[in-house]
Amino acid sequence: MTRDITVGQFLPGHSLLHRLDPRTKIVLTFVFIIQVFISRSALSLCFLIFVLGFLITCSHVPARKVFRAVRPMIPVIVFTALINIFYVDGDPVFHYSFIRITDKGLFVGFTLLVRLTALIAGCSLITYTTSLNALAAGLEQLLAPLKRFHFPVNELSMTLSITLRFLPTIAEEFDRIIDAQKARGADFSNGNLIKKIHAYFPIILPLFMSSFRRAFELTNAIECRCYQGGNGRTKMNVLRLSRLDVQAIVFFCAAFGLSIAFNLFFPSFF
Amino acid sequence: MSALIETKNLHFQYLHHQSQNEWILNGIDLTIRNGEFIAILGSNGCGKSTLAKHFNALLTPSDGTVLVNGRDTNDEKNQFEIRKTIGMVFQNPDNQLISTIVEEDVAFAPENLGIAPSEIRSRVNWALDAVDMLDYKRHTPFKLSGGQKQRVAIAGILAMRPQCIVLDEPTSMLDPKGRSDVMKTICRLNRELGITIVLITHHMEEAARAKRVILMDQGQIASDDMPENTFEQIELLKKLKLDVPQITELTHRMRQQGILIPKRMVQIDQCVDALAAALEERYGHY
Amino acid sequence: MAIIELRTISFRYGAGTPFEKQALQNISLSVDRGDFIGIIGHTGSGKSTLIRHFNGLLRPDSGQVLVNNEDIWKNPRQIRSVRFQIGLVFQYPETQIFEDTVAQDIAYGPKNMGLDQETINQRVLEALHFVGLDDSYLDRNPFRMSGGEMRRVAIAGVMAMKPAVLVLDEPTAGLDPEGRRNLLKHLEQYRRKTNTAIIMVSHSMEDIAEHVQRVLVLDKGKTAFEGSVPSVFAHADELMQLGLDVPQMTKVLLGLKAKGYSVDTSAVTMDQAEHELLRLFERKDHE
Repeated sequence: MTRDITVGQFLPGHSLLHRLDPRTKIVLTFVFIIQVFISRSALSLCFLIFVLGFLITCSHVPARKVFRAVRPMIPVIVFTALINIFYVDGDPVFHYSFIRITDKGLFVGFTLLVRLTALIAGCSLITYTTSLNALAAGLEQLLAPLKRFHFPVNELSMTLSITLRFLPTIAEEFDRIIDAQKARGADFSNGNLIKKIHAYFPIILPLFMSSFRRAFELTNAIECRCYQGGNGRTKMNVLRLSRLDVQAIVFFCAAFGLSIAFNLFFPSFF
Repeated sequence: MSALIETKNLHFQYLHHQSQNEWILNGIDLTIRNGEFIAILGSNGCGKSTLAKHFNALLTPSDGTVLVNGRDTNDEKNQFEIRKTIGMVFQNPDNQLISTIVEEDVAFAPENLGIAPSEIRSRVNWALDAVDMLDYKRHTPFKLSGGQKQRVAIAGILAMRPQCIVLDEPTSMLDPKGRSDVMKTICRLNRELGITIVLITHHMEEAARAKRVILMDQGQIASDDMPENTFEQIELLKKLKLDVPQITELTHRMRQQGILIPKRMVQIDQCVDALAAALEERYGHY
Repeated sequence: MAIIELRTISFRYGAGTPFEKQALQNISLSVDRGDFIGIIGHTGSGKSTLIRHFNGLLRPDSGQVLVNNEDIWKNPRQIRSVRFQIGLVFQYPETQIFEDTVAQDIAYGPKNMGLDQETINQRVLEALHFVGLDDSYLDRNPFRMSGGEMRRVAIAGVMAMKPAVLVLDEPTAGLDPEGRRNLLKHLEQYRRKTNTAIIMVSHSMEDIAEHVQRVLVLDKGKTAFEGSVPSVFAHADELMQLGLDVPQMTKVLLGLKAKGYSVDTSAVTMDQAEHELLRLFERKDHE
């Protein structure tokens, strides 16, 4: 039973965003998140949408795919926006017993809608254009200075990479054990919730046991290859910033600066 | 040829068994020289895997010594050097690969050794080529067959440029094609690159490819000889609960029927040639 | 009457998606009570897909699976009951053990069948003996046993359901020679005693040759050969081309044949090979 598993949402490609160093993308994602949070005025919002549109174009990821990433979050976004519509002070636009909607409330609710959508859309871009492997490498190199403070950077990075490596293997094992227990009459479809949870015990325990065994064997294999922790380790693939990265950083700094300017000098909500 | 691995009166038992006076290894004296191709045969429980783990200091002796290039495995300071010299490949192909990309997995050992990035890259390419997996450099391990994974695991060890590779039942979990590919690789590594090979197995056809076969029984060495001589000891093989190779059994029965076939045959073509020769001799040219 | 029958079944994975793959095409097989059938094929030939059709884990796209002459998919909701009649043991079955005593793990199948405790206890004991383990194993923790013992416990777990057919996927994989011989001996005794049909998927031609009456050879989802063991092994050359291993003796006989001697290469057991070689030597005697 072969399951074709692509872990994460990575879409291989050669767009501008794809070619950026993962470290650049990680850092700039944070910058983008901050930009989203500080964009409160109408003008800065428009600018935010413009920046997002530009990024989506640069990524060669179809816009509908980006917004498909937003879809699961729509209930949360709408809920948050609604709460704000009802609780922000301002000139009332609609009044019925205790329900009061103000004009400012409407505006804030609307901006929240836009900002949260932009936030998720923007973050989805990084997972579409960066493989989990590259993200792990980028994180490891970014956090490398923490080694001085005895932070286990390499151990964390290896944990992440081993997890990624074994996710499809464990998923396959899960399928196999389900089949094996079904072959002995296990029933996963009928019965109430308690019964169903109980039915999964014969799956979960063998998976645990096999994971422990796997961990033990992996440890032996890793020791045999002279692993001694992060000290003294070199890396075959060293990440290096390119001219494209510098350009991206400059662009983002400019956009961020403009965003701050728009908020400071044009704070009105129209 | 100098002694690469030397064991002297090696005894071993796990700590929690101490009270039972049960030795897993009960006095092993063994010398392995550079360039040898050794097979260690025995049924489950004879101690062959335990012995293998002593060669690269994964386990240390309860009594006696194990020396690798003169270095005592008991001394923790020697561990690093010893493990650089003696690599080890295990039974489960999956539980040795740790990266999502083949070439990064092979790079793991050289990275641990602190080798310069460009040198690592050339070693990775060389190692993958030596096991005939260079085309799969950027592939993900998940999609590989068992035999391919096992060859990548071997490449991962090769990248350390070890003097010796110990393989603990490397083909047990593989299908016939995987088994044959791995055996071909192992033989080639010994023949062309001069790497010492210690193969733990219970498959007779695999042991037949080695130059020296060590039979183990209950923690001791029962026999240490060339494959041809080892497989003739049919009674001993049966006593140790091992399979007698089909060729050996067949030629044995032929001899019992009065057909003149020389002893000590382990390869199929040897057997065919011998039978043909016997036929010709008896009845003239076909 | 056949106890289980496959009638031209076909199966595709991922039908309709870009990953669609035809795993099985027009496979037919008929198994009677007490038969011992072998299925061989290289990795990727469709073996694991095929065995999942025997007990209704997979449903064929076309064709029928009949047990006691009834289509098992007539009532898809009742498919679970089929699994008690057609027992399926996967590769490395010891990995599915989850209880902390042997008795409880073997009892899992019978419990799912809704049997009463006394019957369950009886079946557990019976199954334990069938795999060659004695009563002292009942209260032992399976996780503290050797791999070979755990495997026998897992197989007993399926035997305890008293299926009419026992399907085993590479039951001897990873076992040492002694373990292999032992397991096959017990399977044979089980078959003769209970008249359960056994379908064994194996890579080991020697195992197939020694124990099986009929063989189905799969290649890329299709039947390459089917029939008695000698008739199938007569195609030794083609089998090797399909990437399958043939016993050493067969290779020896093939070697002699290549040198121009007329030998019957369908000999599969040691005795047959010996007989054939002696015949070769003796025939020359008469010329």
